[in-house]
Amino acid sequence: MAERNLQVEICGVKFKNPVIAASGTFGFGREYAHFYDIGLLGGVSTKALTIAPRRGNPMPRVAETPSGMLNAIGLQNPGVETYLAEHAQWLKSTGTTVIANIAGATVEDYVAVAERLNGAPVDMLELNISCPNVKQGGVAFGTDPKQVEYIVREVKRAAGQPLMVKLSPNVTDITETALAAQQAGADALSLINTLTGMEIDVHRRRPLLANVTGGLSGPAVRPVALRMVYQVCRKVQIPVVGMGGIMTGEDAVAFMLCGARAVMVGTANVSNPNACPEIIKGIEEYMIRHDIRDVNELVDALMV
Amino acid sequence: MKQILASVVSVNTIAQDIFEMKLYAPELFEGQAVRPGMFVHMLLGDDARILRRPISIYGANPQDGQIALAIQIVGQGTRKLSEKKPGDRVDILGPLGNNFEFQDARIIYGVGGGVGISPIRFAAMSLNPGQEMEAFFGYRTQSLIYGDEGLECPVHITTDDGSAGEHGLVTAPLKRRMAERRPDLVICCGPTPMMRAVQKLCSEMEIECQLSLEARMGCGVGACNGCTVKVKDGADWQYRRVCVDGPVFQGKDVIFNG
Repeated sequence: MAERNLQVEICGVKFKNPVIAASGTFGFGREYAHFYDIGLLGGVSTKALTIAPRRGNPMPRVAETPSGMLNAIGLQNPGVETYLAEHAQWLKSTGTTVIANIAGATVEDYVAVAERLNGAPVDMLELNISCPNVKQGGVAFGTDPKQVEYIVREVKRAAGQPLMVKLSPNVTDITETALAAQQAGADALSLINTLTGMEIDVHRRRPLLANVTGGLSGPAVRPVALRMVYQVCRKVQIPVVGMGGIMTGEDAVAFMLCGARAVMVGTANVSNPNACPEIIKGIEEYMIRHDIRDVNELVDALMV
Repeated sequence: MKQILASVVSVNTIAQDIFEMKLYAPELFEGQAVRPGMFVHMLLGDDARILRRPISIYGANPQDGQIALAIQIVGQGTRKLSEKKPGDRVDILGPLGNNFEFQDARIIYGVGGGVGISPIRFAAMSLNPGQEMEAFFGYRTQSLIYGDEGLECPVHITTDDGSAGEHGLVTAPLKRRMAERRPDLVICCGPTPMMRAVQKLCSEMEIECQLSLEARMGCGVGACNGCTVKVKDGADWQYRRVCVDGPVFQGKDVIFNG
């Protein structure tokens, strides 16, 4: 059988395949190492790192919705120092490509995390300006193109690694924030983060999440995500990583056909701990079925 | 922890809207013991319901590779699960979580409420020679009674409506017996108000208490931080994960206010 290429490159960073574990559902990878060799993944985007540890939001933090889930974790993480001391070397040593997802309440916070990661065993930064579940920072920076441009410029100046910006879908026109990020020097974009939503228990007259609202993810959001990836890929020159409800190899291929160079897999891990390797296998099966030698041939190959 | 396609051995109704599902899953026992308090995280096998359901293990037999689960029908997902037939497959992760630590206690009081009875019954079936347990099982009403049969230990039953056993809350006979014969350890699993009451009782009498907590859960493997609970940490507190740091926590450390 002919050798098939799954390797992709995004702004100079190599990924052994286009499947990256998305930030937030994968911790720092240790939990999933019980199930498979995470060195087989194209990449891992860490749980969002903040300058100080964060406890996160009160319980309950997750709820199921039709073909999806709502979460309001609230960026619980042990802080960038603990990541560097206890997890960074290990994650890098698995052989996967490491993306550090960074978050903060102020521009200075983001810059401080980026600076702290300078020289660390991290291949790329992912700027999280789209978390809908924290009062300060997060999505507050990600919905106004002017704010996006400002924060991306400041973090880019401090960053020692290529900078990918994760976009919020909670905007009228996502291509505006995409273009603002590109204009400010972003090396790549990832989209979409979760869609703000809520669900209630009508009998108890209470919201299912203590935070009242949360971020919707899973297959329920996939058509919205696909449309946004398609729109953004038509407007920007920088590489795009697509995500939103990817559960199978075919779902991943759909995002690549719309122009994504790689994909991120989040909620599928929550449902199935072996989701990522199964999605990689599914992409390979698609390539065999359609006699595709190089996965990069799929990028932007949608026929409209 | 492993992902296993377990084979359904049997499904039987054991109380109103509660069924016992026996699964053949010998992989669960490979390289580890399956202990009271541990749970499996079950996919319902329905594309629209993407989150697994954490289900406490009700009984386990390493000899025949089977576990038993007592599952309450609360919605469409669990109703569909109750319609499984022998030979059907269910996707489970397990065994997950820690377990009750009762090997050093001689006299153990096991307190269960609702489907929280499952791990307490499993503990009662797993005692070592020389250990004694008394079970205190609280139910809303008579039709919901399960898990009390075939136990060798004394079982005190209460119902909220007085339709069976003692009328009232399970903490009444528990408190009485604690005064009459002091246990070394109280283990408990049930609704939050019950666990809060047991926690208080044990604190007042300075008796060790272990609580098995329930939470809305995401991944079940410790990655998503969806199922955290407030636990004391010296003078401070921190959120800890029910799925991997629990589900069993020291009663004195659990903070029940969100």
